[in-house]
Amino acid sequence: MTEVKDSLYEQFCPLTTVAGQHFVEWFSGADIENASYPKRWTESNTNGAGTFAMSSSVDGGFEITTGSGGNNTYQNLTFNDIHQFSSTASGFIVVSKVSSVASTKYYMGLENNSYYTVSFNGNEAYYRTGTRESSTGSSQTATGVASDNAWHVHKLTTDGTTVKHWIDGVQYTTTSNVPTGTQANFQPFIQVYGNASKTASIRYFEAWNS
Amino acid sequence: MTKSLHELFASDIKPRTRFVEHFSGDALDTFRWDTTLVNNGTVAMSDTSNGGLILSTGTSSGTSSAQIDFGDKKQFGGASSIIWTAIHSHSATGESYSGLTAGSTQGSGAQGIYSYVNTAWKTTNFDLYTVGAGGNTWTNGTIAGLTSNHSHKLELTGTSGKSFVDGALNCESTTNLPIAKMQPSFGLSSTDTTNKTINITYCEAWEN
Repeated sequence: MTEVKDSLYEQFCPLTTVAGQHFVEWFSGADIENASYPKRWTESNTNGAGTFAMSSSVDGGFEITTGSGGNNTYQNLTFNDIHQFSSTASGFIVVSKVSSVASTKYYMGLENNSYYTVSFNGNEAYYRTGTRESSTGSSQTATGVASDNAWHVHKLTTDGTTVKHWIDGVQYTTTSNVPTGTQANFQPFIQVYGNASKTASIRYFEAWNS
Repeated sequence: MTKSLHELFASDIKPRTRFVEHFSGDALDTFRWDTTLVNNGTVAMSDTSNGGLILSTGTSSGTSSAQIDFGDKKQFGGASSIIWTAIHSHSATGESYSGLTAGSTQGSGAQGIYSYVNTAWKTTNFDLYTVGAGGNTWTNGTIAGLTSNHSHKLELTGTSGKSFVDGALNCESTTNLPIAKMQPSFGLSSTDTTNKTINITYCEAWEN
């Protein structure tokens, strides 16, 4: 049985510890960016205007649909370059899916030129762990979970040496091009790629400094 | 496994007022928080790890201040608590009030419970200031480290007001406790041209 604490704070750490930056986004409500909803995220388009909309369906979350600017069109959801999470000691959880597998790509994670992310490419066989250290290069490391259009929960953590990636509770790891702190701080980001009407959905995003 | 946040706290009673603010994102949630800025004081999200929200007085001469509160929506009473994590850049100059207030302007002497920082006037510890209907009480804190990152908790029980820093009891007041309805408030002011700041990364308040 869960021990009852006075505060949500104490559910995660004792008051003797100063908690690091942490946020939880449930993607529930009218919208996430416009004036009718508390502002946290910034939406932007690259190479063609897509759409950003809250889904009016059970467990639908938030939908990002690509525009018609060719295969290099992509839509972005970020903190507008407010970087509050450590590049070498942090973690995040996303719950996401795509509507159609073929030719849909997305990255969901933490970035600031370097990054560590969930990496989905419907033209690849498996979900991948995306890592980039700007001073050395990028890697896309395949997990054992086949690319599909089902909801999955992804948890990623980094300690500056190893990125661990759990998909539905099963752990995969990579040490290739793991961010080492060239950029000290990251922001949450979601990028969805695909020519015309490729949709990725997200219904939970949580990030923390460890 | 518990399915709801409510059940984490008390599954057998009606939920009381509670809020949690992580100060994460591209901008302050101004549908929740109201800002009061004087003479080039600023409030902005900090672009750094564990930076949260940064209140700054700026470098203008004269009195500058920055304050956030609930825009006079006062949902917390005389038996409530507030937790926040913060780091101050100032100690000997500038003053800050953090806690629950029945007023609209920091330092106005309104009913409330406040953690106070200004070593030029008070101690080098986190002092406690309680204001009730009939007067006020200053209680010297016992925990130092004004410019280090700390967790703070102020707890009102109706018969006492306690200040905790990093989980340890800092000091306690049993006189002049607030009985008015209150709002969360963080305020910082300066009378010189040295910029003073407070970074706040978390705030949670609730009715006990």
